[in-house]
Amino acid sequence: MKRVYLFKRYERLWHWVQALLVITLSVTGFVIHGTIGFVAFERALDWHERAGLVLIGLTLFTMFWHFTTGEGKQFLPKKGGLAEQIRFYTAGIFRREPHPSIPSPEAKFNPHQRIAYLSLLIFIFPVQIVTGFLLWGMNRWPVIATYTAGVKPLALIHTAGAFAMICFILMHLYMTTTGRTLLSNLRAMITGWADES
Amino acid sequence: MARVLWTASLLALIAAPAMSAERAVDHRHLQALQGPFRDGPSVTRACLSCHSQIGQDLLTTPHWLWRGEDTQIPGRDGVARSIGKANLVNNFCIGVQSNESSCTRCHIGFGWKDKTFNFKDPTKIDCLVCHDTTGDYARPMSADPHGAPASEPVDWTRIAQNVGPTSIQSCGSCHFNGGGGEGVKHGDLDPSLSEASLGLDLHMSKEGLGFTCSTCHRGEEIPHRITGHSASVSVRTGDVLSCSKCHGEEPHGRAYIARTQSERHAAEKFRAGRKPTNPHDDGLLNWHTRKLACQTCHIPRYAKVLPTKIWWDWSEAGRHQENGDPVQEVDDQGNITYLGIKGAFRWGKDLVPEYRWYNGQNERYLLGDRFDPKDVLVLNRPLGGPGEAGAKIWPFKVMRGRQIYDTENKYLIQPKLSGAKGSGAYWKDYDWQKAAAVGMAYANLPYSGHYGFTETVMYWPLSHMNVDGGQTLSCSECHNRQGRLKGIAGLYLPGQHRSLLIDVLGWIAVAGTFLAALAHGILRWRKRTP
Repeated sequence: MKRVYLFKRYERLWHWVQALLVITLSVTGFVIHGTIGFVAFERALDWHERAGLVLIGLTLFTMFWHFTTGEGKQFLPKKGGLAEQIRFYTAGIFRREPHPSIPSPEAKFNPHQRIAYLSLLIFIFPVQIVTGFLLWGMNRWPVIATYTAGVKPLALIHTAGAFAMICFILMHLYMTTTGRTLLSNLRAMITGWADES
Repeated sequence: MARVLWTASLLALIAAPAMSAERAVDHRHLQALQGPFRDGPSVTRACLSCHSQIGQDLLTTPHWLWRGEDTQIPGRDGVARSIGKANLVNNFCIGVQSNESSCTRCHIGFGWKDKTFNFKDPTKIDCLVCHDTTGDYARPMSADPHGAPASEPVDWTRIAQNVGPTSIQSCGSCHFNGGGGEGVKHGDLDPSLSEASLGLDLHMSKEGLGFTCSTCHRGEEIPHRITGHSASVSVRTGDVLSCSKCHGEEPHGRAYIARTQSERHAAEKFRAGRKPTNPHDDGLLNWHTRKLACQTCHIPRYAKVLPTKIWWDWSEAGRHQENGDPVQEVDDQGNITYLGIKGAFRWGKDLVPEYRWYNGQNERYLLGDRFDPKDVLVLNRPLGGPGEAGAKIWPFKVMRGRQIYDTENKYLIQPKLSGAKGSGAYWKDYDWQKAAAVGMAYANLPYSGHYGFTETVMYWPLSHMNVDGGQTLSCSECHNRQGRLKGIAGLYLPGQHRSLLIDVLGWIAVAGTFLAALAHGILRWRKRTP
């Protein structure tokens, strides 16, 4: 079986740090929201703010990385192949048909992944980062509150974004099991090496 | 030599104003105070021989008149009225009118026992009740024109020679005992403040700033015109004493404004060795001051040491023994829960305040105002709502009770409570009919002859017993589904508030995603090749 080096060291670092931050943000966020309460509000807020600021920094740097390495193209949707990919997930996978697209360093993601990750990066991330940053900065720059009509609209959008994020994480976790074996995709994200066939 | 003299005189010039501002005169050897004095008014005359202007100043103050300057009461006809303790009703001992002989033991004068008292006579001022420093000056149980106490004779000359600044004890001799006992009324003012720990009140504690009442409440232009208002006897349309006077509007992480050298020294001592606060936290806390009064976080609990009365049901009064002594019942904490002359009580200790929007002004029920007995009558509803200028969320002690009213005229009754047997005084005769008739006649209001009891409420904003640092209200006390500010309008508190729609749709989406993944996985498993 041929193996291919798919995820560079920085990509893997980015992925896992981001995963840790997003999980921390989700858990502390739902403490702040009042849904769960295993730590006190003030501590959750403290962690949430720190994790959020680190995530903003990580995101900005990773954008820079993707521009300079040209890897950003991996997230751009490509013509064709999506229908086939969807047919595979809804039918072929149950018949153990082969994957319709084979990952390569030039095209790491299948058409479905590209759309899913791009939506994460252009919808959920910006919405969460912008609303989160405004909420964090409101007491520094009270003028924010005059444009956003206070905390409430921002908080509600941020909450909705958090639910979208949780849905993404759940589906993402499940989709990792759809590789050649249940754990092969996970292994690829840890070691960088993916099975080619 | 010349240079030394010059430097010394310069130093003296610099130091003199600071010293003179707080210099206390030793009164013991003053000619005017050599006495001997036989009674209170003769002491007062000696005081006035030097402090004549203070006598005149005092004659116009609420401490003397028990009413304020003419003011428009919010939400009424716009007529300016002079209101105060002298003519209002509350839901404790109800009111002063016809009960002066008992109530005015906390008046700063000698002999106010009825309408004939001369409010223009400065020699009737009792200087000692505020300025005694010996602690031996006991006020008489009932108003006596000569100020003679009921029990031991007063050594007027010794007490007169030991006058000095007011203290927590001297102010507290009345203000800690309002409503007929320790801590009954305010909840944030009781004798525990005389020996306050840092955790009870950081301003008044000796371990804290060591302030006395007058540090904050002294008058600026006329020292004897004490600043600050109680929302129980004032609608607070005039000067308002607030934390911001020293701390500013956004106090966290900012320097405060010391008004005297001793305040500055006390604060420097208090802050010495403390870690500076984190600017982001300061900013977050200052952000809260847009909507929260300082008191809301800095007075997380009240009546922390001594209990305060929270319920007083006059309708239960009347049980007494054959000799006329009232029946008394005490709970296992030693609190009086029933007293034949007053009714049934409930007490609370270490209480969580109730919160309301408040702009510092109150509506005010006046004697003679008709009300609907089906509703609970609020005697001094705090005014202000979200978004209104100056309105913030305040902590309150809320006093509830049942008190006597005229069922035909539908207004509250000012009963006669205190007085001699046979005078109609309820505390002696146990006859509401007579007490109502005598009291209402005194207050110049008709009484129909039919009485009942109705539930009333009073709001007491809290401003004392404040703490700082880790003892303040924690974030999660409010940022919590069942938080303290539940039901307060005009807020979105993360942790307490949410959009039910977003939450329900959100969880449906999460559950849907999970189930979809689960179903897909089960199908894959069932169709797996053997």
